[in-house]
Amino acid sequence: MSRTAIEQVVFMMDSAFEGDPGRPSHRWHAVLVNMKSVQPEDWDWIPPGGRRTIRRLLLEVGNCKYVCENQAFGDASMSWDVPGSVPAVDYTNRDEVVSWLREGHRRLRDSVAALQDDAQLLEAQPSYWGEPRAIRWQINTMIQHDLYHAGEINHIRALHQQNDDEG
Amino acid sequence: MTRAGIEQLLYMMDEAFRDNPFHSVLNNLKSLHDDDWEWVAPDGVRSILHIVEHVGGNKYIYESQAFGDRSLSWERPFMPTSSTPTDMIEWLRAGHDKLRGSVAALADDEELKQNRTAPWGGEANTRWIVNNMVQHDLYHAGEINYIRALHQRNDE
Repeated sequence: MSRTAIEQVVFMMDSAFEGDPGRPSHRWHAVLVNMKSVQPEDWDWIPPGGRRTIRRLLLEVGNCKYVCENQAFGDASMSWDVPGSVPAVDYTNRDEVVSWLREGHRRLRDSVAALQDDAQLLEAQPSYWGEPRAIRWQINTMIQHDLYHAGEINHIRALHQQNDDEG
Repeated sequence: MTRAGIEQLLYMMDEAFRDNPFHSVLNNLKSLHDDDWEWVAPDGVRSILHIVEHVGGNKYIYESQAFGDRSLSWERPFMPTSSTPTDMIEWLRAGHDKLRGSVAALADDEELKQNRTAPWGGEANTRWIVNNMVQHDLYHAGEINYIRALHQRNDE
């Protein structure tokens, strides 16, 4: 019985969400790191030709964490199709959005960290994609989701702050 | 001796670069039209071509610094001779395969804890370096998607 892969996945989840605390000057890609440089006026700005705001992207990141955890490890009561099933957040309050994101991340990473054996990562579990998927695939997709949207957030911010060359 | 950690990293590298249908670099490049590559968003500086050069260039540099002869650096990158989409993607694939090959050649998960040279001149452990490359692909795939969506006017 080994937990090597589980511990590595947990490390990658944390570093995608808030960065590796052991390397504070090399945390370029994490969601919370990219949020730090977002100013209040950036939250709802939409570039010409665009539709999605930084706020909207963050709400998507958080909602997916809650639903994925609940479907794969919980009672499967949360769904996009069940209004009010995901914990509510005052999306006008930045601090509350951050706390809500942190709680969604905590639930998901704690569920993964509670696995006992690497073999469990390959077991299929219910998923919010509508069909059972291997835990590893589900968690990896959530890691990717954080990083992908962090990149999108960075691009919107850079366009609005007119400092894209620092991206 | 175990390779569970190494195999996990290889899986995540491949998913980030080519396999995941939503987030991987190559799948995001598939939805580009030719005129998207060099388009720059209003008030922006970086085009998708610029970002792809950055993604690919770093694959070669990180591999050279961490696993190779350190002949490549941010000052001396290995860049493609042609910037056509086909040639850029081929160059990206070769960079990915080179880095992936170096990770796959590790014999034991203990090697993931070993420090290796990083492009900025310091050191980082092997797992951190590989994870950083996985993150790098996905982060910039997101940027590529946003630029494409702005240009194609289908940002949903």
